[in-house]
Amino acid sequence: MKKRIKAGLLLLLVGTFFLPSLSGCAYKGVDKRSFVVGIGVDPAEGNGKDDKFKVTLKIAKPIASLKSNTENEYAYLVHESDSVAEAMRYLDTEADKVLDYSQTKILALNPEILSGDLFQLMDYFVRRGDFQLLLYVVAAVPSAEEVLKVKPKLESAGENSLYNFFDETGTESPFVVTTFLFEFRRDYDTKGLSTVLPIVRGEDSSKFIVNHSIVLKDTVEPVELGLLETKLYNSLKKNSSGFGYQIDNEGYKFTLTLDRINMKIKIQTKDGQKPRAVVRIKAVGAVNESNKLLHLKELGHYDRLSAEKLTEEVKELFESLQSKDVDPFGFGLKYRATRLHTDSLLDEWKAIYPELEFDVKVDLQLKSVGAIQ
Amino acid sequence: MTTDNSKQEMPIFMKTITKILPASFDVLHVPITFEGAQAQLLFLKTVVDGATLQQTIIKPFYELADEHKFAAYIKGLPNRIDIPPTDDLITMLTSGFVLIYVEDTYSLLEIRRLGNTQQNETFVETTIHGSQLALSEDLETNISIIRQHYHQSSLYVESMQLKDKSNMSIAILYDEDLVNIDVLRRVKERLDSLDEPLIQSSADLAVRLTRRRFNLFPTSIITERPDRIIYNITGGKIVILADNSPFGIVLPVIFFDYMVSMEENYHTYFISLYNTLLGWFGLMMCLVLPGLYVAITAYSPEILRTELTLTIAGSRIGVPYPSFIEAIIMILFVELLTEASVRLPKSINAAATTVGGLILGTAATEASLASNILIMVVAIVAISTFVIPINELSFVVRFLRLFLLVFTALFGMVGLISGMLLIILHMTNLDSFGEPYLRIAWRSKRSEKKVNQE
Repeated sequence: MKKRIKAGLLLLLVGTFFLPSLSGCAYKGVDKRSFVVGIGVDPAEGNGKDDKFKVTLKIAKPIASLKSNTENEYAYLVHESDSVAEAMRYLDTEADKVLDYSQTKILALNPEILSGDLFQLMDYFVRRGDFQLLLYVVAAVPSAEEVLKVKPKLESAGENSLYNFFDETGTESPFVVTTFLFEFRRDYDTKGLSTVLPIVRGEDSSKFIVNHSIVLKDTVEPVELGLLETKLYNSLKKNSSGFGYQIDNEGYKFTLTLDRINMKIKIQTKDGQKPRAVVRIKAVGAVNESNKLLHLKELGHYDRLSAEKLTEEVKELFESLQSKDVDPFGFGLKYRATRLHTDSLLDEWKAIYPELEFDVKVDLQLKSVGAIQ
Repeated sequence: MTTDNSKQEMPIFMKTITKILPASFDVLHVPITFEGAQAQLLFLKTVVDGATLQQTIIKPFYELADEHKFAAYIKGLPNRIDIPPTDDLITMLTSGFVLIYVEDTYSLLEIRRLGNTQQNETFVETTIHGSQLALSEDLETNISIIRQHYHQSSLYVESMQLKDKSNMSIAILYDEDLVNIDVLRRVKERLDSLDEPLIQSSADLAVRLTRRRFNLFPTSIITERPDRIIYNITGGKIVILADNSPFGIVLPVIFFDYMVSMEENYHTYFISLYNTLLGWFGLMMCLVLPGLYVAITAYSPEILRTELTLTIAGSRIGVPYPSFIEAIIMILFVELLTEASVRLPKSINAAATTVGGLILGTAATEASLASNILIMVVAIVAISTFVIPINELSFVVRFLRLFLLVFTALFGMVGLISGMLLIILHMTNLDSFGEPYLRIAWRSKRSEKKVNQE
């Protein structure tokens, strides 16, 4: 018994001396870390060197007391270098505390660096363990640095208003596309699918506008989606709800709110026929606003009017994306997923896509004409 | 003062007994004579109830005034027993028996002065709806309380005496039909093989009953509540009561028994479920929270939301020590407070906790010795310790959270998790008189109480 106790004590002693060394340098107090809340990447401004990127880090200052602080305070570190990794390593030397990227949620990219191969750019962010794959990737206009430096008037201490746009705790708008880092990479890498990034426009360094988006696919030039296109993309692909649609048909002008929308794609390739994509859209909603008096018993008529208009718009969007050779809706992915896989499958698709005909059918069900009859 | 001045000759046996007994002031030898009748008494006056002695022995002697009749009367008394071996006789005399010599025969009468027979108010395990009275400090009163709560002929009471210096009499109570024979055998073996020089209370006894020397988790419950004792007897457990101790020992126990508050039986289903969950939540909080604080502030701040991380970072501005030291200081401080409030007289108790808790808490943050968040953590920890229904477990938890804290300081979140794992491993290794400590009782309350047996 005595021997065992002695052995145990010895083990404990040895343990306490040597075990801490195993944990390495992980113990780092929260007050010895600088939390980076946003990273911006711009093309380098040159200055004679052949640097490629300009990296901006937005660092949040710790908040001593939420009540006495009226606004957020941020510090910015900027450096130009040949690669993102190099720039960030350099920036380590400009900060007295460890730069902690675990709370980073915004990766702002200048649209100018978004054309061409993006793998090298995103590689660093995906590969580094302390970046969360859940961070929001945005395209920043006019530049990433300027967007990061925007100080919105409504932002209070301890808050990051850019997060509120994307995490659906704040605003929920069908104009805002949310793309996480993992999604960005996955969609970019998937054959037959294009990735979509929201465009954040910084205005007067006191306001954000987020209602456009940009479609990216490796070699193809980026395609910018406008207001309506972004909304359509968001509601069809991401099923976002609570959005208004303007319908202008046969003299009727009304606005719909759609609560539910559901899209199904089928791709038909029959011999001797042009390849067709059959798109079935089911939508449920109500009329919000109208220029004429609407009658409940004519709801079916309004359904048809709205469906016709919506069909037209959706078809237009599909065709314009087709003409620019991008595919954010994943027609190609659907094709690949529903055909027997062969080596030539991808090439087949590349031949099919430019000729694809869209057969869009919208099944729209209005539940009411609103409160006034 | 051994009185030997009477005309009566002291019989030889009584003389030897008197010689063995110390010449203490309370050892009395009383010869009584009246109209030719003679009798002799030997007893310790401090343990014998004088009034009863007067009523049942001395008064009848003078009333009967006849030695033969008096001897017959003595023989008929219900509290009379035959003379045991000398060693036992001595112990019995010291515990309140009277040796009486009349008409050439010796008799031993139990005229014990009872201890505190009053039922105390519940002090350790208070409930709102449950009984407000706890056990008393007298063994027989306690047995009678239990018998009155549990009218079953199968309730078996075994009494025995410990062999240590206190010679404490204890009673083992169980329901003959329900008790686990193996456990009973183990308990008796353990009681027989006890060799402690002094055992003073049931808590003392409970500790000595376990074979392991270095123990953290208790393997029996100490309770003052008669309803908990009955609840456990109905569940087939064994209860040990000790004389002069207001607590009963319940065994064997499993870990989950410690999380049962008697209050649960007195509420509706959902309320008691909620209370149980609250208890478990409290247990987890006070066990894990200090470690979690260190893990989050020093190893993985990514767990929290950005705002909270920045606030914690802000509240630690100017705190000179790493969060681990900070946490240890504050927890030790709260431990001191808790200990102080136990030791202090009740009247100044409240003042001490207020001064300590409130004033020092704010002062510590203002002096930048601890962050605001830590003060909150420590306060939650201190409060949730008191949610645990059985006090013995909260002592364990108070120790374990320091262990977890050290583990976390060394290895971060992984340390916290593996520390918890170690605790669970340790508990799986434990047993309480043969019953696995972590056994999960998948039985309903009804079947546990064995109501529906037929």
